[in-house]
Formats: sequence, structure tokens, C-alpha cells
Amino acid sequence: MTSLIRPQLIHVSFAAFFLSFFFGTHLVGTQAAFAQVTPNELSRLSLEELLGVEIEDITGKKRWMLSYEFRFMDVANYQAGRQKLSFEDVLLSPGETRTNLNFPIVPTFIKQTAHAFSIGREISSEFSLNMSLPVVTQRTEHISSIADFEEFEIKTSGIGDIALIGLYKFHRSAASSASVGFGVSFPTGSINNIGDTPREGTDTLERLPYTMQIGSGTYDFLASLSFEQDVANWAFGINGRTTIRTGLNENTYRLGNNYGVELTAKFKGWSSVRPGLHLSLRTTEQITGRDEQLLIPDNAFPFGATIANPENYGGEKAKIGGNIRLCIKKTCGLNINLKAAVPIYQNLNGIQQRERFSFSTAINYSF
Amino acid sequence: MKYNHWHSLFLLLFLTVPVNAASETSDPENTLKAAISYNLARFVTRDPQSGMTDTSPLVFCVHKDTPVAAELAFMSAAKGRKRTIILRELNNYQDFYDGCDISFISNNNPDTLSLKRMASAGSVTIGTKEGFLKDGGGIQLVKNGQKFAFSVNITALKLAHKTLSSRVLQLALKVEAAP
Repeated sequence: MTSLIRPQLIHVSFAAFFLSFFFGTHLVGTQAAFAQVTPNELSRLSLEELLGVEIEDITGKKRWMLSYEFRFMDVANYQAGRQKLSFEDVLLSPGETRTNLNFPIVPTFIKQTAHAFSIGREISSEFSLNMSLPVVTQRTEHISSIADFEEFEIKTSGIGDIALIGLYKFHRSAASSASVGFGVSFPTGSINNIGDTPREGTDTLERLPYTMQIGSGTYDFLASLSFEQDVANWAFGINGRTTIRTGLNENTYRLGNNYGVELTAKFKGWSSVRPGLHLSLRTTEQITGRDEQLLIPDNAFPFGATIANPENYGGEKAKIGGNIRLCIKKTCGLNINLKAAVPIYQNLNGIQQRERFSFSTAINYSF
Repeated sequence: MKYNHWHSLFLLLFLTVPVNAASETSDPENTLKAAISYNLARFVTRDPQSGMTDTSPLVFCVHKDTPVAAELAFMSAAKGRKRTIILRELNNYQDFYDGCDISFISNNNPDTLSLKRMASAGSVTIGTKEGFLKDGGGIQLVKNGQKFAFSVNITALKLAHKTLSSRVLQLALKVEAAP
């Protein structure tokens, strides 16, 4: 579904963003939700709380988990590698010579939101399955040097790629735990959203660039590995995650694989409020192949905007952030998790818009 | 080629995290029993007449073959808060009569174990067996639906020269003075 206020071109692939961001955070969230109460956690509960704990709260018996998460990411301004650029640097102004570094259309501000619904089932005390359904919306503002398209905004929304993830806890001790996760992302999100872009003039509908598409169009493999170690009232963790994409989609491209590592520190001294810090490093590869419909035919510069060029995708990002988990039930079977992060380092491929901050809030319920 | 170092880092992560294929599986009921017992132990104090300073560690005894022993080991490793509790896993039932401040008595433990003798030796006994308090036990864990509650035998505590915090006594299902 595309609601257009005018043509569009974005910069950060929504599908890429969503899959990495969703998978990156949600798998860990799933783990936390399914972790139930470990002996280690029980030892921190007060006697009053322990007397309220039901055996099923700590059992390995089959349990269900429902989760809703809202995510928001703000993207604006430009970078070439690590060098910051202004909109004016990127916009092809009248009278200026066209090069590979300036474009007649420049996305300016992007607001990406996702509503992620997931359902999980604990098959055994070690293994759980989780299926997630994202509903995503992206709104992008543009400036342009093309007549009738000086300023415009475009919005896309719809159901994204559905992911099925299995999580196996292969290690548990009083003070540490480790798990591995594998999953598949199915190409249920659209890669054929259209809009009135300047590519063929006004009042025409053309296929939107990669970032405006809600899905990846490919079957993707998801994997994660997590390890957490308690030290006094703190839990220190390291999580590795990747998304490996396969083949080419029907529009003859494939979004880039991504690989990420996250270091976490959570304060577990309080039973109902758990603040934490995290530092993440993530790299995303460029797009492979390209969507021929995005090109301006018979033109020495076939890319009307940065986001139409598949080489202007991916890069390396380091982010730092904080989160706080509020346990509504004694054993945290019902909890709210707030998380925010800001990039502290971005080394982007080609010319891209840079991320400014991200925020998410989730409510998880297991029963 | 640009991303080789990232690939390497990711692979390294996979390879360096310790893999323990023999994942722990435990009975959640035992886990909860152990958690409550371990927590209760934190509120046990020595009567000044015992001659030991109150800051010295409390010794929590459990027979090594008791299913709860492994769970108590988890609790112990997870570290006590205000007071250090030393978990002692016993190989011999006779050892319950010497040097234990708190003892977890499993239903599987032999009937020949004398709860009163253990109390006389300074141990607050915790158990789940029916009639545990009447037999001279100190604290009985009682399953109440999906939860556990506890009852206290003040007589046994006095015999062991131990006291239990008044705050904890308020949480008890029943506080009695069994003979």
C-alpha cells in the first residue's frame, strides 16, 4: 500500500533496517521473555516475591509468549564514508554540473516505524519457536531540482517479511547462560510499492527504490548466538547476529547480508526494574544486482537519487544505548522494555543518509 | 573483501562461546523449594548463647543425593546478599548432626534421621514431609496449589539456639510450638 504525496526516494532500506533491527533486538527479547525465572534470578527475589511465584513460572513446561513492539528510527542528513555532507552538497542545483556525487532528487528526513507482533511457544525448557509479523510504515521528505517536485513526501506501509525463529538454550548454570538461534525470513513484504516519482514526470506511478520497499523479496536465513555471565548484581552479555540473504528477488536484486555484535550490561540487583546499557557494532553489505526499473534510461547518470544506486547501501555502524525493563508481574512474565540508541560511529558505503537515533518499546507477556 | 574482518569476528564469536551440550534440566518444584529455603536461611540468626559471632557464615547442609542439592548449589553460586551462606553437601547422614546451622531434609532421607537431635546440634531443619514439624522439624514448606508457603516450629528453633526474623514469621502460614 502506497500513499503518495509525491514521488520518493529513500536512503536506508526499510527491509534491511527492519530485518536487522527487528531480528537484532527481537531474538534477544524472545530469549528474555522465555527465560522465565532461573535459579539465579530466584535467588534475587525477596521472600515475599518467592512465596508468590508459581511453579509454572519456573517450569520448563510449554508456555506461550505474546509480544508487541513499537520501533521508530530517525534518519536525516548525509554521509559519504565517514564524511558528513549537507543536503546542498548532495542536491544538483540548477547550473551545476551533474556528477556521480550530486543528484536531482534528495531525500531529506525519514521516519520509519514498525509495529511488530510476535507469538512464541516454548517446546521444551531448552527450545522455543517464535513467529513475528511486522507492520511497517515509512515516511520520507524530499527536495528536488526538478520542476513540480521541489518538495514532496511519500509514504509506504504494509506487512513486512514474516520471520520464524527457533532458539536453543544450550548452556545454563547458576551464573551464565548461552543460546543459539536460527530462523528464516519469508518474503511476504512487498517489493513492488509504487509512487509518483520524477522519473517519468508528474502523475505517473513508478516502482519505488529499494528503501521504500517493505520486504526483501528473498528468503533470508537468520542466526544468533548469545552468552550472558552474571557478575555480582550485573549481567554482562555478548550477542552475535546475522542475516544471510539468498538468491535474487523478482526485481533482480538482493539486499545485503548483515553481521552484528552487541555487548550488554544489565543491572539485576532489583527484581522489578532492570536498567541496562548496550554497545552494538553492525555491518551491512551493499545490494547485489539492481532493479532496472529504477534507472533513468539512456542517461550517463542513471540514478536520479542516491537511494536508486545499489552501491549506496550498507556500511558499518556502532551504536550505544540504554534500556530499562519494567516487570509488571513478580517473575517478569509481563514486562515492558524501553530501549533507545544513538550511533557513535557510521562508515557508510557511497553516499547515504545517516541514522540519528532509534527507539523502541515492547510489551511482552508469557503464560 | 571489505567485510572479511566482520565475518571473522562473527565466526570467532561462534567458536569462542563455551558450548555445554549437556544443558541442565531441573524439576521446577525443587528449584522453588531451594530458592525459598535459601532465602529463609538469610533470615536465620544465631542466638547469642550459641557463642558464635553473628557475622560468621551460616552453614547450610544438604545431602548430596537430594535433588534439591543441585538447586541449592545454584543458589549458593548465585551469591548471597547480606550474609554469606556456606553450602555443605554431605555424603553421610551422620554429618547432619555436626556443624550445620540449617539443614534441608528431603522426603527421601532415612526415617532414622532425628530432627530433634539435629535441632539440639544447632540446626534449623527445613523439610516438606507431612508431619515434619510434629517430628521436631523447624520449618516446613507446604505446597499450596502452584505456590509454596511455610510453617514454623518455634520450639525447634529455640532448641537449635536460632531465631527467625519477625518479618519472616509474619509471612508464615502457621507458627506453632510443637513439642
